[in-house]
Amino acid sequence: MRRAWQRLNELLEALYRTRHRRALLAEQRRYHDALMLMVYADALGLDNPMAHHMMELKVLLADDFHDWHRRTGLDHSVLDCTRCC
Amino acid sequence: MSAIGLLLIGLGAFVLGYLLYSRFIAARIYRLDPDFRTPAHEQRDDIDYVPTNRFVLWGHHFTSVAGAAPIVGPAIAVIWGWGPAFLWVILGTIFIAGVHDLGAIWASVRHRAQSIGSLTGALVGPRARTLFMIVIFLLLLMVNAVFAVVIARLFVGFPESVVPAWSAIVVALVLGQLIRRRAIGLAWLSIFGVIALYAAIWLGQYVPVALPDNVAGLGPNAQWIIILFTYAAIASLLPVWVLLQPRDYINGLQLFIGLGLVFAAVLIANPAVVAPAFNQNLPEGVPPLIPMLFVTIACGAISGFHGLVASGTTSKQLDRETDARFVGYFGAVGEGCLALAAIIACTAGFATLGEWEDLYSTFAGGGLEAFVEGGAAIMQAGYGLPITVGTTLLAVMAVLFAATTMDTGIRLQRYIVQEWGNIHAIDWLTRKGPATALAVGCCLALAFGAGGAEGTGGLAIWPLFGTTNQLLAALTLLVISLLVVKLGRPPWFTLLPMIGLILMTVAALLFQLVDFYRQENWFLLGMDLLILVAAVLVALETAGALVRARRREPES
Repeated sequence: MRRAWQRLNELLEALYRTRHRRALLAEQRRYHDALMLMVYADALGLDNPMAHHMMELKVLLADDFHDWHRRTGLDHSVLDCTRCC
Repeated sequence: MSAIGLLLIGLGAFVLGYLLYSRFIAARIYRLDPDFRTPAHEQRDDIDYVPTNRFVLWGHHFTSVAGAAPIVGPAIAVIWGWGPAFLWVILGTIFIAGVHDLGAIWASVRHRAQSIGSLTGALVGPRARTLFMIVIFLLLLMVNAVFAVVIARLFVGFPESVVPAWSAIVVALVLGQLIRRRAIGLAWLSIFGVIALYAAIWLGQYVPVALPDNVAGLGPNAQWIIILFTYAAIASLLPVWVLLQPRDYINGLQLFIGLGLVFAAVLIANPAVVAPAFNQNLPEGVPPLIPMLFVTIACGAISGFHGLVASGTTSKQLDRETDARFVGYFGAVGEGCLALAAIIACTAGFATLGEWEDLYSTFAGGGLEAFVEGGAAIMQAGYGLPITVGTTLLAVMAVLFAATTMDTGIRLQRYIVQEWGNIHAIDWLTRKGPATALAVGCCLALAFGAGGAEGTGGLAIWPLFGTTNQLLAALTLLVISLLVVKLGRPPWFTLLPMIGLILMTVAALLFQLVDFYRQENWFLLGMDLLILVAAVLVALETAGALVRARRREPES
């Protein structure tokens, strides 16, 4: 019974997410891109008064950096420290 | 004729269609292969391409294609008697819609999940692709105008439905927040959401809302149309998860509940079908059955819109190719069931033939009002649901379907306008606000242009909407037929329905052309001409493509 209920929950969740998955992910990515810009602003030559506070985030977001710089139209990494390509 | 008989014959035919005909089509014509690697696996990206459980995918497909249209069409068409509408819905679903939906998924899956639009470009030619885009744009334009008129009429006719219909927005907003915050499991949330919605429906009977007769020279219908478009504009600007997603979800639940309630009531009450099988006593001004029946009922018998959903999102999520039969064909059957419920409600929900004829005294006279009143009467006879609650329930169901379609429709139109802005480098058009305003402006112009300052005659667009929808279906069937011909398999199962659709569409357009000319309705005459040109071009493209395909040797 408990398992059937669990299964029902999963099916409904899947049904809920299926139709608008694309729109939702696109929006999520927009927010994420804005965050990336804020964190890596100084690398692009933009003055960022918060740069010091972004240091920790840089480490956390390093994995996404490659995807992001490709998406923004930069073929190669603009960072000296993060050499991904 | 008893309504149970009609229901059982209809459902029985659907079951046979699914078990026998769809199996034949899947095995012999499309030759679905369980080992074929579908795009959901081959191009998996967890965004568009995700292998999905077939029941979930069926739910997605069915609830995406079913809405107000399969109710409105049959509700108008029973004016010729229940016989023609019943036969067209049953035969259309089994032999055309199912084959079309299944075929669209198959064609797309076999071509890296491309949409039917791109497939048209690749298989038929760039001209056909342009034609395809024009037909889609016209369809979007009309669907919003028509649905605004439909909702306005329901709000004026059933003032009790106003409060529950708007409360549904609040329910959806709260549900959306709770789901996002993962407060509790979705099953419980769904139950609470449905209870809240039906409680609002119950309360609706105590607080009917009627707009004043005249505000700045506009009657209640016109006021509602303006309010609805304002709502749709705002709703389409909100992030998807805030309103559209939970609304879509509740509508899906409502669809199953509504269908269950109507079918259960028919089985308990077994009302007599008071409408004649073939109406000999047609009121004046009703167009001839052939060809108009075939464009009045589009969704519910065959609808090109399904092809867009089937090849747009469904095909990208198909886990195994053989699932297409269940998802596509059975999805079409689901919509056929909704149309069947509408036919029964509109013909068996009246005490006497005279009462029925009173409502169906003009061509668009019945419509959704007949569905709401008839359905409510059957539910009262079945399990004693008070008549005002019944009418509110069905009216709200129809309103919610139509309003969600408007939200989606305006959103899609805005994307198209923004795309134009991008292509032609017009900066202001690429912004959300102005693009939405332009989209809404076009729809408003159509709603009022077709029906005068009152906006009441907007349902005159309905058959035009049907023809455009059928044209789209014909184009999709053309693409499927071409593929079948190329593979050296018999094309008749897709080609014959397509030829029939084009013939009926052109005939209906010509008939309406004369009609609009007589009424001196130049606006609709222009629309009609535009669609007629598109229809003739579709026919020519079809003939050309088929001749070319037959000249070539089959590939296998």
